[in-house]
Amino acid sequence: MKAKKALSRFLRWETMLIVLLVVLWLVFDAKDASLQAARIAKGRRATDIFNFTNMLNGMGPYLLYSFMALGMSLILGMGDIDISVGAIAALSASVMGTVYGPFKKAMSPGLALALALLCCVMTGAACGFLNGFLVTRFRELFPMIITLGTQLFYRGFCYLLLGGDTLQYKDDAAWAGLKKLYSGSVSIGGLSVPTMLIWFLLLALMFFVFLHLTTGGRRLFAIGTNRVTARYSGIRVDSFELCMFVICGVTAALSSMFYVGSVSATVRADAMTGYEMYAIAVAVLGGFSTGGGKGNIVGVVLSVIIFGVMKKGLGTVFGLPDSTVNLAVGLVLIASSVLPNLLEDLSNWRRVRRQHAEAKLS
Amino acid sequence: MAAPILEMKHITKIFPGVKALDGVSFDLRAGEIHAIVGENGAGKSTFIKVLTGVHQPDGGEIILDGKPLVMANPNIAIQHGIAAIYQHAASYPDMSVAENIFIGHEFRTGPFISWVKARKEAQKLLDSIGANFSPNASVGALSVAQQQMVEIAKALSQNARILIMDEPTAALSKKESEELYSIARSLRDKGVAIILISHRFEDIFGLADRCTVFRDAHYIGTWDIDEVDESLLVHHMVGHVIEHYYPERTPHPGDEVLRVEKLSRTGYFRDVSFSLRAGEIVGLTGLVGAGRTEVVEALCGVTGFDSGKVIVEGREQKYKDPKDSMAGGIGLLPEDRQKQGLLLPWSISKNITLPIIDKCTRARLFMSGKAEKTISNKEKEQLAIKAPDVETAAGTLSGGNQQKVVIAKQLAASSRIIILDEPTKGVDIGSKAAIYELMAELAAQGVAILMISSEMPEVMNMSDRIYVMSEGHVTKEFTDVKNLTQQQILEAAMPQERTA
Ligand SMILES: Nc1ncnc2c1ncn2[C@@H]1O[C@H](COP(=O)(O)OP(=O)(O)OP(=O)(O)O)[C@@H](O)[C@H]1O
Ligand SMILES: [Mg+2]
Repeated sequence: MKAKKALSRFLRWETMLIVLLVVLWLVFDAKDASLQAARIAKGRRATDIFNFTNMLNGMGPYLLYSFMALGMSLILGMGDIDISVGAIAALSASVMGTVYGPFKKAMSPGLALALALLCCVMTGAACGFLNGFLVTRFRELFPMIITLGTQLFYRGFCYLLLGGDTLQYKDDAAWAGLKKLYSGSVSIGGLSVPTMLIWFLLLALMFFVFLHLTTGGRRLFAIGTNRVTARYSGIRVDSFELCMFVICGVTAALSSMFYVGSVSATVRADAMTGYEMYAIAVAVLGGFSTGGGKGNIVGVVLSVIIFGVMKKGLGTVFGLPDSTVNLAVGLVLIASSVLPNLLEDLSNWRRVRRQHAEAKLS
Repeated sequence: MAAPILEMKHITKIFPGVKALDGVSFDLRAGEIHAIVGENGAGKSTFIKVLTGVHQPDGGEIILDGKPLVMANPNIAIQHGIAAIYQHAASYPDMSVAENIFIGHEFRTGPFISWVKARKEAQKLLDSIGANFSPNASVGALSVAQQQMVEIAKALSQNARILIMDEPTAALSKKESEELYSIARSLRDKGVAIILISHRFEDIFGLADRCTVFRDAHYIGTWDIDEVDESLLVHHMVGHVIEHYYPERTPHPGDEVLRVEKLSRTGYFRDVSFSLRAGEIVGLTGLVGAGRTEVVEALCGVTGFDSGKVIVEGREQKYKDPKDSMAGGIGLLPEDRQKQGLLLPWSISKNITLPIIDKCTRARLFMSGKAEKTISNKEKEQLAIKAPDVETAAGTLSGGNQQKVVIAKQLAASSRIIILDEPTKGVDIGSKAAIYELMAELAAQGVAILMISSEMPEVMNMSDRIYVMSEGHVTKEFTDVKNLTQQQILEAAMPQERTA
């Protein structure tokens, strides 16, 4: 009985996400089927555009921000926010691209790329460290404002490194390997699964274990629920928070590696602009609120898929332009965040109405 | 006898898993102070929240001036002149007194708020209750007692005819309580009806005209105050007789475990020295604002100190973080249970085990729900925490039971030195006795206990030695507690005229 109650509490939001996913899927599938029927009626060949295999293989673009969303979940879980992750990703990629050239002259291309990737991750970590340092050092400033500042700073740094140029290493086999990172796939039971999805799920699993099964996760949610109590309870709030910002920066760097692969292994200073918003949106739809203290990685994974399905469905099946798709995604996000409050209001309203009725009777 | 202005009939309120009120009735007359008493979790605060429209009842009716009324939300209560003052008052600490009083119903000239008028009116209100601070002062800088006066002024500015005070004196020292009493009396004489909730018998017998007892969500009865005495009231509240309120103990002080020498922090306290031995219970008392909390927070690494020494078990320490002092064997029970002691949305179990999560693990990394349950169930039983189970959210507990959870946290951490900052604040007498018993037991096991308290009887009956602080100094140490009078402590606690 007790276990059931705990389970139901745990599953409530995630169940709603699953329902949402199924509904979206059915709608898109039905629309797709009717499109096909229309084509056949006109005597043309049916081309099933919305199905599982297509969705799976087309997940790439929607996974680019998913890594960041995992890092963002940690930050939101602590009641902070980091809107500089897009810029961190861009800077990490810029550093990676900039150091690769000189490295290659000194060593084998494979080793040079490995080192460049390492630099990319280190840059992400360093940026995260700066964010974390500023946020914990200057508690009177909102993390939103601090990371707005660092966002501009990191982005400016990209332009310092690259100017307006597009960096790319033509005819460089090792560097071109980055493309594989993005578009590669492995066959699992006859199904070709993008490697990127596998990377994401592995990382998500790690985050799940950390957040929901270890003491670290418990500490994180304690901080998000009440920093002061957390500190009185023996948690080193500042250093813990700093670490989480570093991890968030690293996830941004990871995103950037795949992103470079997705744009034919080129690096530009204005790359990944606005990705922080997707990362936040995915995490919030997944159940992490900016208030901190709650959320579940399962929800984030589901919400990554929902975002993908929605964008794909609205874009290809309904043929809406990208701007309109964003509008719809925004609406779903708003609806999902006000829904719990609406339900609460409704139950209160019922009680009040019942009392009014009783008052009239007596 | 005057007709009641407020009647509440057969009020029932059910929370998931808990019946907080079960057909409770109550009536209130103009110009009376009516006390509601009962054990922790009896339903007093819930009753008040039903009256003020914070909670919607599941049954029963509210009749104001003979007419039934539905309190659909807190604004309706305010419109009908019902105002409540809670223990955790300071609404907007950064704003001025005048702003706090008139926020939500400001004076306007056109689209603009007239703060000049607000200040004038605020001054009038403050004068009327005999408060001697400026309406321009920022509320955060006032003492708890003064903040409560601001809340009272705010209630009056909304023309309150029914004033509810839920444990108003829990954070006040004796002298400050007296001031609050005289304000309450003068309001009553002006015809305001006052509902008073308190666990302090001084409040009830010193102030109330009538008294209603709740027990376990039920209405037990209402009496004129001269019809009952303390033991009868306790009997009604608890359902049985309490013996041995303060435990008998023969202290066996061991080695000195904590020594504080000339500790100073600019602006907070200066040259504070005291010591603590194993197996000893030492009281640290004084008026609220004397700097007691600041001293212990500094020594535990919550804040820090500028000069002086802290010597723990023979070694000088300068803790940078509460984590360090905990590792050094010091447990601190913070003053404010809601803001510093608890994670309100979390379960009792997760709250209790938070300081010792590393011990509730498998492979030193993964949380083990089983270990947490075992530990927290044990503490829940030992402290008689009233809740359906340890999975209950701490925020849904009654005030006193929340306090017990914070104490349980300290016990689970099994520290060698325990610092308790107002440990029995808002705790009913039955549980107080249990807490005293526990302190005695710990001391007998060799734990050193430093207890900060403003409650004189508690300090005098529980302590082996007493330090008194006033205005950031230790003014007196009493070693012969048996032959001490309250007057002696109060004298030491009073601010001195500085001889410059
Ligand atoms: N929001 C809530 N959700 C669930 N249970 C609640 C909620 N608020 C109160 N309760 C429960 O209702 C009961 C009555 O609580 P209440 O706060 O009214 O007690 P109280 O008499 O004020 O006690 P105290 O003297 O300790 O303040 C308690 O068992 C408490 O756990
Ligand atoms: Mg209460």
